[in-house]
Amino acid sequence: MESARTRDRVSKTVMYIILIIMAFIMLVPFAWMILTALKTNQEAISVSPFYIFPHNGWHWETFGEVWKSYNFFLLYKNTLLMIFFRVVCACLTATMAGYAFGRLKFPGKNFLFSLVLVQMMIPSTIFIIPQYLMVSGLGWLNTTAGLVFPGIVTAFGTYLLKTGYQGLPKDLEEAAGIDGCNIGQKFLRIMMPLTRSSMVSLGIFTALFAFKDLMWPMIVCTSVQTTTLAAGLAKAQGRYGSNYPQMMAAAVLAVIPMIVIYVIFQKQFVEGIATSGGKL
Amino acid sequence: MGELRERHRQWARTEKEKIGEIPTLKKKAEYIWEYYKLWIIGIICAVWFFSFAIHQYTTTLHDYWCYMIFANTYADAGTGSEIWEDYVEYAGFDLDEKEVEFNANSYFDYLKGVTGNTYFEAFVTYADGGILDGIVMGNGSLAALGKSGRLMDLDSEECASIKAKYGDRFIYSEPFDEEYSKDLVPVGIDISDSKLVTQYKAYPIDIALGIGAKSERVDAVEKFLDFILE
Repeated sequence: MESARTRDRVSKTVMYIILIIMAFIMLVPFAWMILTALKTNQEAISVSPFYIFPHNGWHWETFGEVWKSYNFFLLYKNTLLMIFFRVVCACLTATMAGYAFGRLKFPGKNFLFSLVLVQMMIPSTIFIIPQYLMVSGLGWLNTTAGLVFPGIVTAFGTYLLKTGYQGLPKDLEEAAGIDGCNIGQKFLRIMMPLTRSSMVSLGIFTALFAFKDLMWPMIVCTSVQTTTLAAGLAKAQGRYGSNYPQMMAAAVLAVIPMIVIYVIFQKQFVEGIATSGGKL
Repeated sequence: MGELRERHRQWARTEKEKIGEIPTLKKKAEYIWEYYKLWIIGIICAVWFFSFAIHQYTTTLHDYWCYMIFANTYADAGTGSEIWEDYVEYAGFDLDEKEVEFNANSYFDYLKGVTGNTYFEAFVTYADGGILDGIVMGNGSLAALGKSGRLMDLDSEECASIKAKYGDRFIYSEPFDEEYSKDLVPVGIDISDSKLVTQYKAYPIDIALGIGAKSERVDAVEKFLDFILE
């Protein structure tokens, strides 16, 4: 009995040590980023990899300099607006399309859904030129609408919500029909609230993809006034590529919104991954 | 169809009666908000969206006089820079009619490999979309880029005037397709002694200018060449 308990304690300890090492390995790049931001440029480029902490003082002022020179307020504003509208549009269109594909019967349903699936199979870069020409034709270059444009509809979201609606029992819809609900009421009042977890998953994925999206903002937003964090940092990297502390400070400031969002929606993040089976 | 219309009429009559029976205006508003908030929000969003779209479409310029990329420069050569202002003045473009875009946020080198380089993918979008008119970069990089087939053959009819003026400055590249040509193809114009280097200090090295393969504004590029080499 005693030996079993000891064995259990030892295995737990070993497990914890492994987990701590893994967590440390995952945190190293982030810690490295913050420490580099606090060094002088000379320290950042000339020292050996084992020279971890700044030796000539902690240069917190780099963050202030970066905040001003990169115009972070604008970058945050543009990024958050893009994420907000992409999430709203994606959830709105995907939930309606998902309901139609998952619950309704209409001619050509399977064919139309296979078109949605085909869109998922084609690399998204193929759509960039026609999308750019459309946005340019609409006069949406250098606007938030232009940034949101490719995220208005989502094939992945439609697929996710379709499976969500298909998993709901038919009786609910039938009961609502008996109570006098028309198709719109069934959708809005009964079915849509039940797919909340799928919608949250979709919202999380959309927000993350929008945050990480570099290509599209770089193409449609040539103006500093409308560009996003990812594109703004990439441009700065090209221009100020040799100033590593500034680049790292900018990267630290750029990840802050996502950390805040993660802390607030931690539960939903975990649920989202469990619901969709996806990885972030 | 007729039945549906009748149902709608019936619904409208019932709602009108219901709202009519509610005593105060505040209670009426509360009832409408409670039962129709989704519709109200939806309609407001739709109206806002369409008015924004129409406003943007009618007030934004949709075309360019010239779209240039200045790749791998660390100088201020973008839209609004001194080079841009001087060129617009030199060419006499009316900016109320069309735009002149100088994109100086592009960093790629075809010689060093461009796989996964977002700047190169952006260049491809501009070039294949017919937006790009000209690109300035290092001589060797431009000659290598010519192999991608995204730069115009300067022996073509569209470039006859440029060839007549600057034929002795041409930079050659291997053809994209052997069926197109077995000989080297001129894809760039050497502008190492231009104002871009001597006056604006945009580049410290030998540079060349290429024309986008699908550009329809070769005359604007010619004006740019005249401007920097005058």
